[in-house]
Amino acid sequence: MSEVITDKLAGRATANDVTVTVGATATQSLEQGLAKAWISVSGSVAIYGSFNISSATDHGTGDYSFDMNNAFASVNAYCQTATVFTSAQGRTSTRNSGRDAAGTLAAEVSDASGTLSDGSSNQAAHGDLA
Amino acid sequence: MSTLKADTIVAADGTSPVTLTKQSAAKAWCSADGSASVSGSFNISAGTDHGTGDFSYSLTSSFSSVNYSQSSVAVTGAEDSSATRNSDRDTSSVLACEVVSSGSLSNKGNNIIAHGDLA
Repeated sequence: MSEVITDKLAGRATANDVTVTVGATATQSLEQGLAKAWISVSGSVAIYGSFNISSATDHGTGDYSFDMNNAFASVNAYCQTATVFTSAQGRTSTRNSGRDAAGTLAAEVSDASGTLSDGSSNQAAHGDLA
Repeated sequence: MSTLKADTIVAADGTSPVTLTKQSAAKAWCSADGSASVSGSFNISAGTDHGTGDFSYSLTSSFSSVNYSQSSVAVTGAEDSSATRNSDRDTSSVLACEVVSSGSLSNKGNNIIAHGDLA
């Protein structure tokens, strides 16, 4: 097996345009497949681990936002997914469209009855950075 | 610091997938509204609204099987909402989700991401 060791990888013509082989025949943009931000955080916004996150804010019961170091190009063009980090069944996390922004991931955590509830969650986001 | 500049990276045999050290890139993702209108995406060719809360998204390049990993979330200000992967409609070339709010299928925004091996 050959191995390339480098500190930085960039497109030859366009810095963020590198194509990789990802299937038997399929090729894809490397940049588009990489997560641009993620966070594992408690229900009181203690950050367990994160990437491209500058701070976490608790806006009230089950209502959180996470500011990014480097923002997305626009709020509508990125994809955020989430899951609640808990041993209790039925809890969910939404992407909060009332608070998200190009530079802010937002989530609401609910209990099994659908009521906002403080809870740990994991969030990840993909898309084009500004 | 060394910088490698290239347009395309392929495994040494010229055809196989490239291995990223301790990383796996997403193979598809999309952000869509409650009518499956896609506002941002990667490897998605089209969104389809099958009825209330029932959405699917066709892939440009398919997975090698239906056994890929998909996660989904409802995009809404209504906290009593969630999105599932719809096992009745997903295939190796179609991501599918159902969005529920207050216990009933609901036309709300949804974000989906999928990881796995492409064909």
